[in-house]
Amino acid sequence: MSDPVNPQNPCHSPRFAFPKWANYLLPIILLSLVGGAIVVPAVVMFGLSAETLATGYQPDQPVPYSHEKHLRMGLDCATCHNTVYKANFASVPSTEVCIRCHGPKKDAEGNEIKGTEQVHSNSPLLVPLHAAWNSGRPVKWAKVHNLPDYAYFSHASHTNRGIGCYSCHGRIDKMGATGTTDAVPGVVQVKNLSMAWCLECHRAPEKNLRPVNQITNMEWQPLDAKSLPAFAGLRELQAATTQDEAQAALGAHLKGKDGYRIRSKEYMQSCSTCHR
Amino acid sequence: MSNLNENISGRKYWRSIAERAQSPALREAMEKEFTSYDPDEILSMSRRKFLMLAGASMALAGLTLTGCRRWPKEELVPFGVSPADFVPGTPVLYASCIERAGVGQPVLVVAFDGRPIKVETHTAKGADGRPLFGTPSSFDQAEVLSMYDPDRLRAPRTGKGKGEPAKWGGKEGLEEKLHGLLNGHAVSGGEGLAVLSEAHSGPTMERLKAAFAKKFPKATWAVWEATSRASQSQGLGGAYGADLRPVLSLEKANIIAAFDADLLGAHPASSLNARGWAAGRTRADDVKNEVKGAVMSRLYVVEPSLSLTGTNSDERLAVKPSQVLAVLANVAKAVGVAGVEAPEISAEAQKFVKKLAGDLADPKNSGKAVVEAGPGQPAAAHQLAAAINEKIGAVGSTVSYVANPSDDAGLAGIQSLAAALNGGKVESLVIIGGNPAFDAPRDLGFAAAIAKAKWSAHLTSHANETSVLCDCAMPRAHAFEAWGDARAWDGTILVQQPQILPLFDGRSDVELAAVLAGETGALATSSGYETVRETFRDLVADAGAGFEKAWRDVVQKGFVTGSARKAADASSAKVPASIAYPKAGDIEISFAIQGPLFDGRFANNGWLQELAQPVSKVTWDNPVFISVADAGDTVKNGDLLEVAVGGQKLKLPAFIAPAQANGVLSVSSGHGRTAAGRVGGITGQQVGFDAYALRSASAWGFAAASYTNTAENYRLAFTSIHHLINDGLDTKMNILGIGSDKTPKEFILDFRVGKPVGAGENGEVVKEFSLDEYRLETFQASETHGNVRLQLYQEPQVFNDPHAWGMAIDTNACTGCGACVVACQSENNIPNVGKDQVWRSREMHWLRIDTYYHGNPKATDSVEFETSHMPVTCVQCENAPCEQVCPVAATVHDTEGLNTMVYNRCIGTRYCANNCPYKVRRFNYFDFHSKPLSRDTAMPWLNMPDTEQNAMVEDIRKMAMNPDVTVRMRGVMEKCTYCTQRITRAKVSARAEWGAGQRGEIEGARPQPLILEGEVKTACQTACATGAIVFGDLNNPQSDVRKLHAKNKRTFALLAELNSRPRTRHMARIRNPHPDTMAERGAGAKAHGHGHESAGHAAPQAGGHDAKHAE
Repeated sequence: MSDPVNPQNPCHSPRFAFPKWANYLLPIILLSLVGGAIVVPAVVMFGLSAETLATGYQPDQPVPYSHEKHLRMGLDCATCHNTVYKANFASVPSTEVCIRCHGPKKDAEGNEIKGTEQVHSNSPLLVPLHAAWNSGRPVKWAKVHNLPDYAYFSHASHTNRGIGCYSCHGRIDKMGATGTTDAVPGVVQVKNLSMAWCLECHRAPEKNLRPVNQITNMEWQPLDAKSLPAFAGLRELQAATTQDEAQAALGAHLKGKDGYRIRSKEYMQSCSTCHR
Repeated sequence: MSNLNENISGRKYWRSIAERAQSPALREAMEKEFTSYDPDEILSMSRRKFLMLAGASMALAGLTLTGCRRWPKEELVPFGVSPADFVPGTPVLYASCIERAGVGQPVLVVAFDGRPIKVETHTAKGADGRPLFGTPSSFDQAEVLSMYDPDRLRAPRTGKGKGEPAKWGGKEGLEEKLHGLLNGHAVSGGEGLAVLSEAHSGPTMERLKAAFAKKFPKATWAVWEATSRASQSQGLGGAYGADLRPVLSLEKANIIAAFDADLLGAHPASSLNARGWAAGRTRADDVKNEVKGAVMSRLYVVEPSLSLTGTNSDERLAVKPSQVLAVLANVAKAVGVAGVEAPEISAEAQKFVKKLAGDLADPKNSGKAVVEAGPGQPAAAHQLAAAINEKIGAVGSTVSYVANPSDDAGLAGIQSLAAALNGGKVESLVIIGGNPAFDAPRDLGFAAAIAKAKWSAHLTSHANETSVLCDCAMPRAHAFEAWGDARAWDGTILVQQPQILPLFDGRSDVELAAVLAGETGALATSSGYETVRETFRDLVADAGAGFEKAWRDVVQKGFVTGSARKAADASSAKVPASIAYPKAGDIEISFAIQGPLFDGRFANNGWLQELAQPVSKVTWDNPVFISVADAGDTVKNGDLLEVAVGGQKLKLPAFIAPAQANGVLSVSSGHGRTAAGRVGGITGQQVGFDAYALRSASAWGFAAASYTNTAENYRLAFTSIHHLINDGLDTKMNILGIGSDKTPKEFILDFRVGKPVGAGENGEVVKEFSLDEYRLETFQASETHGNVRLQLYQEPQVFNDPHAWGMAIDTNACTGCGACVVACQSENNIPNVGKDQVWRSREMHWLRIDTYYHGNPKATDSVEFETSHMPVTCVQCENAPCEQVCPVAATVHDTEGLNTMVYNRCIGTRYCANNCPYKVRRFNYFDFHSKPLSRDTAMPWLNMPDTEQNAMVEDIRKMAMNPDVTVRMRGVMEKCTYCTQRITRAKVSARAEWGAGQRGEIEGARPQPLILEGEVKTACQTACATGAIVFGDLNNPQSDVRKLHAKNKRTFALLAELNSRPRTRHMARIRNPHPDTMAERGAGAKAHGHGHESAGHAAPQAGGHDAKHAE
């Protein structure tokens, strides 16, 4: 069939007529292309970054344990995480460790006296703990700091080489328990634990090194080292006035021959250091 | 006379007969690295259907987005009450033992957070500072996988076949049932009660068996082991009138003669034997260094088909199994044993006897030689061997006879039990372990006889051929789950200590035997601990501190010090009055070769199924060996032969074996199970062939046979044609289309790295020399190349900060047993791939043992034929070709010389494997770990495993994994990394100690290494019986590996001409044939005008490079 108006002009064919809104199509496409070019990379860069995906993880725990409360009372990290200096894993304490203080009193033979109380043993917050203890089943804590299975991290390697708890875990002493009336929120992941983040320190460990007896000290500052007798002769440190200057002087010293003898930068970045 | 290189039209050294013939298909495979394949065949579906499925799975992946979850939840589950001194994630070693066929093997079991995951060598040393025990065999290593086998019997059950679930205790429990029966039998003194057990040697079982015999004097306790060595104890009984067993000290021997005895392979004490043998081989270095009185040992072997021991022999004679005794009698006569008549033997055998008898009778070797016969030979052979040993002064020196601690009594026990069953004299039958319905002589009809008992019960790890016939099946605890004890080959008392509670509520042999003996009534709640502890009250020396202290010491050590049996008084051995020589058949079949599955008990163990067998390199099968001459042009590899023995017929695939005696077939037993499990086979889907069908009580070791070649062909998966190292000796070059008359080897040498300067250059991958050549002053196995024109790196890389890891592999001490391969698989979470994938050259073993043959495959003596083994794994090149081609830097060097493999970075291009001249990289074509070996009829078991890839790894399989090593997924390349996890573990503890001020540095070493010699040992190193693998720090002046690399003249770099500079160096094999053999070879060489080399050994003259051996 041919066009009755103008057989030569295909545009006049009713089959091929574009609707009027089609005029807006081109600008819309162009705009979305330009917009997409901004939005998609933005989503990928920020939405899928380690910072977004990993940091801020704060799962609910089965027992509302507060690090803040326990550390405020003067406990050291290694009291419960007792293998932190000698093994890859720092150890999560067994239920028994909690019950030693939070269980009922014991008689001379070491048997628990029912109904008695040591430290807040009858607090309703400890009901799940006692349930676990009485049933013999373990408490299933939620793991906060979770590395990929192909990355092998050793606590002992770091705690014996001047890396404090704070460097990776943040102010644990300010973290309380989710689900309690405390105004302090629970343990949260503060660092993204990405490979890039690990390498920042493996390339320049001096920025994080601290004296070996200050590993678990959450409030330690580089300038505090000035008063330690071991560093009395370290001139750069004694001359430092800012924390950064003090850390630079201390880190350079601790990294070297008289300190932890941190291996070469190449060694620290070798794949086999963390992957097997 | 003949020469080693006579009639050689193909390669001088070859790993398979096809390679020797320079098959074009193999040539292509060698150059390509990855075998080409037809995708349609693999997928078993059309391309269209595949695309459809691929699209659908993509859509599903998009829907679920399982991989992209933020904050995947994981749990931390600490103990309720932590065991004392528990350190999470840190391996703990327990001293224990594994008993098999009445011989205990001392081991250390590595437990990770309460999971046993690895078997290690027991490192106890004697007063002289030498190790007391041998290394665990591949069977011992594979026990880990058997323990976590998902197919294990998970609960007791009653009723034949599948049966009904039952309970141990409670009303109508098994305990009650058993008590009722035993009380009934007690009335009549045990009439109608019979027990059939595996062989045991431990004092607890000995005590319980005595108590049982006392309580039930009329009851029967029979013992059956298919691998029985009873003919040996019977022979020694004939000689000395006592039940004895020979304990060999091969390190003292200059001359070792094995008559159908696989001393280094199938022998229960093979690792101790191998260590002694290797000591004699290593004395080659002492001879070279002119240490006074040092003599290198010489190994003589007479056997029907090449065994592991045969491959390591200096002098070998292949004869029919029926003729071994005749050769032995000739030797006895020749060395002057009185009262022995020597039957006639072939001229070839006479020559062999002359050499052997000459060496044995040589006064220089008095007390330094030993003869042993194998368990497949009749008792007379063992009696003769004892007489010869006495004659040559071996007794008390190289061999001592000790009281046999095993209760293995051979065929007699099961024969009389079968007769009693068939005669209706047995009402209740209790079978402890074993699988007699499968492995007892079939002519006894034991499987049918079980039904004659009114009630039968089987304590078994798996529901197998026997347990389905019994009225009751009881799960049996694994060696890692139960208390027990055993005696080692020399009689040392060993304690078996559990590392984990029984996974499937199993009971141990000891626990059941204690109930049978009436020592305890409790089967439901019994603990073997009390029973075993009770035994040791009389056995451990109470040093005043009380029994408890002494017992705990023994448990901690795993053995009772000084409990090895004293040598029995063995003098004036009687020789058999008249020897009944077995009648020779035209064709004979030998059952003596050790099967990879032991007697079949390891059928469901993938590690052993896939372990390439020492000679054939066959996996997942047990072909029948046939000699090259017998095969002729008519029989090809894989042709199904119908073998007839007596009235029994069985179709078996042929494997054309080099150096096999003519007229002899040989086959191993244990395959072809009909109720093994998902790996080992079930009815209709057997893996391999049931050779027990051919064995009868009258002909257990060998038999006359006949065969016909059916037209059918069967696919065998053997690895000798995989991962061939291209030494460039074969073809002419054709570079850029320009023809050249040079071989690639010559091209490389001429234009790339320069002519070799070293003297040992012979162009071959294998380097072996005779002792005389080794002793020459100019000897050097390594090649050095001057004038290096092209290098991969601008500056030579050093990689020594702070350690420089290196390895030395001594091919002179390697027996080729394969324990290292299984140890590596266990340590490094290496998956099995299944027969079909092995056939496609996709086996995943990081470490392989290349077995090279040399000479005429038709030869029946060693004048014309030799074998050598070469373990090859990643050699950690300093100039690594693989690293140059990885587009994502997933394989790079660390600062200590490890060629590391970063699995999480690998994208699977496989370029690295393509560029690796050593062919040591392995690619995960599928998620091999998550593949349940599906045996659905719709999906034949070795079909496309990828269809199962979404199935998770079974939880119980995860328990067998080493948590220190990444489990690799599909699409990732992997390879040996010198057990980098062990290096890291040593570093962590070394640093912790250094931090605590407990550890200093090594004087004079640079730069400040903290790990000391011996603190890191690789898995293959600790598994090696002979110490052929040495690993250590090349920076450390005290390290063995540094000394071997720098000082030993036998050390060479594999494919040195490529200038890849491997950190692993190999060491040349030294041969010590009889001077007559050397003369024969020399005569052959002259007669045939082979002037360029003597007897196939490169003359160590400078500049003697000759690349064209093919003539």
